[in-house]
Amino acid sequence: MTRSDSVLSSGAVQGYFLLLLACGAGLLFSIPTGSRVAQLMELRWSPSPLSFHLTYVTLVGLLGTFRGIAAAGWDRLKWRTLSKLLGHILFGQAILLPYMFFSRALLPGRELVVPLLIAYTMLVAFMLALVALRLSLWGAARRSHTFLLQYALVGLLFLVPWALGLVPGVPSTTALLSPIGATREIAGSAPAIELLIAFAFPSVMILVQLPRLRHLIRRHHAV
Amino acid sequence: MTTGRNSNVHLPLRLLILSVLVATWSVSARGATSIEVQIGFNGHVVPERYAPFRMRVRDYAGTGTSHVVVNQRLGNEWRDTSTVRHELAPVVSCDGSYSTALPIYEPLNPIAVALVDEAGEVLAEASVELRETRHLDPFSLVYGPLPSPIAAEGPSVTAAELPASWWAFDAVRTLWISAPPPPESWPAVAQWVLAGGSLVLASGPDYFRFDSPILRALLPLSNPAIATRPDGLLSLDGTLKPGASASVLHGGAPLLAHWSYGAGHVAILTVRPTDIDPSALDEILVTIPESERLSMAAVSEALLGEMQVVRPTHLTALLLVAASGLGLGAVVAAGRQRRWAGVVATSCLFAALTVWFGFHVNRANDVSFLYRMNTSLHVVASLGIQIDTSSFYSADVAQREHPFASETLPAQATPATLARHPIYLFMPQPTATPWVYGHAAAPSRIVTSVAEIGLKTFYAFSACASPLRLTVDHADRHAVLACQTEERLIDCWLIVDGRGTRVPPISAGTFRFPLSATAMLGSLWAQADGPASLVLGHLAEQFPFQQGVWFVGLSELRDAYPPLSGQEVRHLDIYVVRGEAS
Repeated sequence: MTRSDSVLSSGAVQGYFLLLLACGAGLLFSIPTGSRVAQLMELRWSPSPLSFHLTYVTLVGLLGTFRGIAAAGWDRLKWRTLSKLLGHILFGQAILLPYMFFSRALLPGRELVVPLLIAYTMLVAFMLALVALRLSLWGAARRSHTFLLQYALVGLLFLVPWALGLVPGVPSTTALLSPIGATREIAGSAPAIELLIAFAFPSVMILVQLPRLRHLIRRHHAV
Repeated sequence: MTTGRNSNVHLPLRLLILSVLVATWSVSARGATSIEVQIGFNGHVVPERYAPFRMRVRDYAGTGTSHVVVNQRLGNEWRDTSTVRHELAPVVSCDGSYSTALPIYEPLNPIAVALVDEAGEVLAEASVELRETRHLDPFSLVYGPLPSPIAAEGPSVTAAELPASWWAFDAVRTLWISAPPPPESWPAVAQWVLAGGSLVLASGPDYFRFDSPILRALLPLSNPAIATRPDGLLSLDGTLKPGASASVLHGGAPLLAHWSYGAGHVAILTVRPTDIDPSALDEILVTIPESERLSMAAVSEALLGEMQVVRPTHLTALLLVAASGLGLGAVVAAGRQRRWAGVVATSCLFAALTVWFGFHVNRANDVSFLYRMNTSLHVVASLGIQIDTSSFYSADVAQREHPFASETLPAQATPATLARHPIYLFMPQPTATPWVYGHAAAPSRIVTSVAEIGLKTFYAFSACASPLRLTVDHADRHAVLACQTEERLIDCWLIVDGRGTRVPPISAGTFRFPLSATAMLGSLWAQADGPASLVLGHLAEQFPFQQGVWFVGLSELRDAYPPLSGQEVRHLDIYVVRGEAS
């Protein structure tokens, strides 16, 4: 066990630096190149304006997982651990706020998308942090490593529902369970019902995790 | 007991019952609505060109107005198929004939036509097969009797088949007229010539059976009169107009007088075609130039290519990344000692960065993913035509709404197989055809679906009144321009027999210019700046500026107002006015 990690601890700061650099690269990548339309035509390729937003939701999600795994190794498991986890994710969001405001220019006429994406990413990151914490505690109890399992699950969550949503015959709303699919819909000014589904999934997952974690915390204290 | 009074009382009732029975019987006896559709000139069409569309409605059973839906299926089972759908505005309200023009895409599959009522119920359907009569290139069209070498050139049409809109002649290479057409056909013919059509009037000395004010303007001769040639044949004589010429000498006199009119060409046979021997007819056939559709697509696309890409710069984004990284490093170093101070410093720093870069990336730097260049070419002589060209480049796949303004609007839902096809758009202008290719999301908005990233160019043709009129007085060596346009033309030139001079900007009013153009056309284009150089160079290839007096005026290259979010839209009006003798 280590002491409770600060947002400015060297381990956490490395993660935040990586987050800044990778999202910065995504931001640079999503700005079209060429100063005249003729140059755009010659290139015959234009980056999707969503490149940055997809990078953002994926990396903040991974940050949540990363901090969730780290939280399992903190001193004592308490309710405060969850609020600290939330603080870590918020810190990550705070340092990306300039990028997010900058990215508003990539979504002209869709002013609500940026706050919605921040809120959605917050929910996804916290959901992944809680799942990672639970899995780490479950693994620790069985003295087995869950590191690979954690990231494999994140990969599955991001890719499988989104890929399924593209299969003919499968309801397209399936894609909303994936942060990739949900981000695309939010950025595309999806109808309210789709937004509700997108936000409902991580919210429900968080609510499902909390009683289980309470049980784990109680058992932890009992031990 | 029945009395006479009683029978009188019952009479109106009996009559009423009888009327109801008769009405019921007549309604039930009335047949279902039927339509008879003809597309093209006797079915002759060219892909990617307009064709006349005529429909006869019989036993119309709709309660209100109905519209016509035309579906053209492209592709086949072996490759991607898609359907281009055109809807006619609600104009069918009773039995009768309806006509308009329709763009033909790929007439390999039967074209399905349906008459649909306000409730969306199909009242009648028809299928038109054009596979056997399609041409790959424009063909000659014959109106009236003509000897075999000419008659064999293409299909012949009757008076009823002559279209009323000039763009319905889009697939015609040369229009041969040897019988007087209905007077109402002349405006469409003249406008088509103005837009690059090629007309041959095979009237000879029978010209006066054809004579009309519009035809006088088209004719390469002034003061036409009947004369006897040296070989004894009756012929049409007259004075060649400036720029006109005579050719195909036969029997000591020319058989053909011709000249350019607008972007097109008009020729007249001076003797009856039946009086001309076959070898001379063959010579005439090779002398007649083919029609060339006037197009501003190249200019529109070039101007589109010159448009500035609107986006935040990469350098700004790079500065943001660097500032964020350095800022985080600094606050981490400072926060090692006092954690809360570090967190507060981080919050302040990143809030400041957010505000600073938020201000920098203001709305003026919002990325535009759709760039549109609209050009409206107005060609004016005694009649006027308008060709709207809208070129747009989309950098993403999206659906957007546009205001339903007078400017050219792109069509909706371009099928994937049309990626390489030019798309025709029909503007809902009162003077234009009522066909609309597109989908109105609301009364004042139209939806554009961009199916793929890339460049597309749309056309819209219409007839219009002449907002400018150029009258030339050769004796007094001056030209008078009467201008009724609302907009100011900032780049203007007067061109006299291939030489030009720049004239001051004009707006509504009357302007008098001396006919003293000195500069060669090439140097005129070279001295022009902005889009003018490009436009003038292109116009010189399409119009015979070396003959006659012309006025060319360009409006300011202006942005769409109000600005459209995520789109850059520009519009340019071009006026080409042909001078007419006073």
